[in-house]
Amino acid sequence: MAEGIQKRLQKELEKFKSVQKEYQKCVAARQQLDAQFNENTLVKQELDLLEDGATVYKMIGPVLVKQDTEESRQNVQKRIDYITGEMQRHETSIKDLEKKQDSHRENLAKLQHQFQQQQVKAVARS
Amino acid sequence: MEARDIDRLKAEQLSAIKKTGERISQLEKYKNDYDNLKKQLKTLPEKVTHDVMVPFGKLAFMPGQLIHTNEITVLLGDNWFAEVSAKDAIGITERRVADIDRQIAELNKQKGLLEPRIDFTSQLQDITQNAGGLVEIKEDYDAEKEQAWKEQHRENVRQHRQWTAEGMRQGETEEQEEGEKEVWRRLEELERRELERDELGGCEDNEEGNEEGIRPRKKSVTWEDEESTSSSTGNSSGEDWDMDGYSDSEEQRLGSVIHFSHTTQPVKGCPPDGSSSEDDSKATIKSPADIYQQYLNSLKPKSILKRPVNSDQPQQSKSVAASVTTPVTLLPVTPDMTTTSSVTANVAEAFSGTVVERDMGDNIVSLGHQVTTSGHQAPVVTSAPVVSPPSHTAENPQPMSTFTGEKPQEEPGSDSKQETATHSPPKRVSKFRARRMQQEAKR
Repeated sequence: MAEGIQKRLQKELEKFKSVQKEYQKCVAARQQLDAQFNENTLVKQELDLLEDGATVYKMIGPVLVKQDTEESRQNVQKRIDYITGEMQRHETSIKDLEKKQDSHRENLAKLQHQFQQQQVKAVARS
Repeated sequence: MEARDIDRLKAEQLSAIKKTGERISQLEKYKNDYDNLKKQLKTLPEKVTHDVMVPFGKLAFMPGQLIHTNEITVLLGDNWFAEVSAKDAIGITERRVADIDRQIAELNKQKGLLEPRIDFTSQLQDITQNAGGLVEIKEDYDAEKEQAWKEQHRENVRQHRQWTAEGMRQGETEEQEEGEKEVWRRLEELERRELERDELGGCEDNEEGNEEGIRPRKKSVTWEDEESTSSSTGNSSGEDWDMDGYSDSEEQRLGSVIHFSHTTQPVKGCPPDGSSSEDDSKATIKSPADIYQQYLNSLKPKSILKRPVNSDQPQQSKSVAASVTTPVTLLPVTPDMTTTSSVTANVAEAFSGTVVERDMGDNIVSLGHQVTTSGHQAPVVTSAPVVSPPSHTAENPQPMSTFTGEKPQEEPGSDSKQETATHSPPKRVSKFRARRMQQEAKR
């Protein structure tokens, strides 16, 4: 019986750990997206300030490639929109993972408690 | 265990503050860099070409020139570049510097929020260690015990409520009775005091005045020119004034007291200081009160009282000045007869039989009023001289009689009284006699 509980405890623990990892990944990704979002908004602002005839380069690898001003603005805007979409997605997944995490935590606590009780009983018996 | 937790909490808070501080310093460094860059950008376009030592690898420099001094390719972010003039570059740097300043301000705020937390944790630490005189109040929580206590508490509360409710009810009835008694006692006492004061002025009070009548009566309000004379007018005016004043106060007290201002009725216990003002008022007007007196006299309607003696009928006018008194006066007629008769029997010797009927009537009215009111509570309708709380009426039947006795004594002194009397002396005498006979018959 004690072994059963122990096994269950371990399984629960593993599940909890995996969920926790996913959660952390998600959180990190979201942070990154957040930074990119900020950066791109800044770029957008600067591009808007530029004159239309100004030269804009895009760095692709080690090469600077000249870009059209208007086109670059649109590109940046698209990127911003994409980033916001990604962020939303990540946020929902974060919430789900958090819930899962909590449930796992509860289970773990229960199992732990049972395990402890068992231990006490075992000691009492012996 | 708690101490350890607190320590850890404190450590975490400290690290958070440290991190914030580091970030702030980093941003400040960036700001410095941007300021330097700005300076460079300002000086760069001044010359078409700059001679510089160009770094060549890690360890070498090479003389060279900076050309296109005004063309600056700026990294906007996210692998985007823009070619701008130096001036525009300066603009860009300024914007970035502004952004950094904003971030620094936010971080400072955050730091400010974090720092008090350390104070709290240190306080908590002190509490747990019982340092600094702070003691944490701990109660062990046992679910079962709490439940039991709850039940007990409910029961206690129920019992307490019942007990208080009962106590309240009992207390209420008792207190109510006591309260009422006290109120009446107080009223009577106040009335007594008022009577004292008023009596001193005009001897218009009743038996109570008699009781305390030993005091000098100079306290009353009398007109200076009349003070010397104990004439009825002077006293009457004073009496009137007192009466009015008294009536006001009494009315306030008892609520529905109506006073007569006919001052011919002397106070029972009083010497003939205040006496037949009524008759005199017509003749001599020495004060405004006299005017009022005369006015009243003129106003007096015929009373509707049915007296045992016919001659008495017109005399009721006085009492009817406040017709409210009539119902009261009816009752005491017979008992009055006894008292007055006894008195007049004595008095008849002292003076001629010319008794001013009005006065008698007044006496009777007042006497009767007093006698009957012994059993009554306020509202008491009192005739002018009769101003006594009910309780006191019964106390001085004899003084009353003496009062009446005195009054007749005064009368011979004032002829005007007789003049003003509505009835001829023989009538009055007969009435008096009839009353006396009646009273004697009753006895």
